[in-house]
Amino acid sequence: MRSAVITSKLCLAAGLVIRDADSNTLSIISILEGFMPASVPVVFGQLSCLALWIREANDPERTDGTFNIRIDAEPLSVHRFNVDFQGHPQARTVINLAGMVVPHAGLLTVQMTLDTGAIAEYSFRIAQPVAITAPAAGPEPPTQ
Amino acid sequence: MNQLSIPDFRECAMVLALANTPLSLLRGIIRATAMQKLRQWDSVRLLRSYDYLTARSERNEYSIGSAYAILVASLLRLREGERIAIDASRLLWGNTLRDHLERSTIPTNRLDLHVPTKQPDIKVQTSSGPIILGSDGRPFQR
Repeated sequence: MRSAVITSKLCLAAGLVIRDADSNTLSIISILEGFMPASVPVVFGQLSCLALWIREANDPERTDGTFNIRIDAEPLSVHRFNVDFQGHPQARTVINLAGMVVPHAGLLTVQMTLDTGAIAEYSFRIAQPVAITAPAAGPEPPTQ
Repeated sequence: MNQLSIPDFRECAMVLALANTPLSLLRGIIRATAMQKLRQWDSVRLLRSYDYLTARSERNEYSIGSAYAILVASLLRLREGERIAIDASRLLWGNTLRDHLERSTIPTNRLDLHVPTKQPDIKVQTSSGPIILGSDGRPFQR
């Protein structure tokens, strides 16, 4: 018996992923590639994760998976999701998170693992914020 | 409610008259205001209207433009996972539109999560009296 060969073609995290209802095209806004926050913890008001899956003709049309987001090795959120190909060779998964708090700097990893074994993963680094100190005081301005 | 009005029919007819390829017809119909109404129709109503418009012996730009709009609205249901058994071959560019929409459809599975913030760990320590430690360093058990 042949095992399923569903694979991930694309995985990323962005500020917003929008699907146009008429054209069925995706727009990805503000891809997260790593940044230095002003302070920690970091609060993501909106975070969208996208994965594009490809299957072959004999692969199952529906499958479940686990969505996992973690900072370094510390899990932040774990949820189950499902993928329905509806007879097509490709399917997208868009997961929107609201109000996620990242407690400290580190490597943020978004991972979607299907029960068939396919893994889609995307990582970006949240750098340790640097304390900004006020510049040293210069000479006193002349008084009149 | 959601009934096509005379301006809707007129707009579909104009899109049909101005389209010179199946793809330009598709783009025009998707942007038509009639499409907003048609996408709220159920499958039974779409099929019944399509049958009525395409079975007529008298055809004009109004009826054919509207039939194309209904066909496209039915085929767009594929993106929501609903397949309507509609005979696209009754219209000249029907099969071309159907093939194009079926090829361009990629289902999108969406999940919205509200991540609960972590509750702070609060440890309340109360003691009714002084803790007396034994020789082994442990408090006495009562």
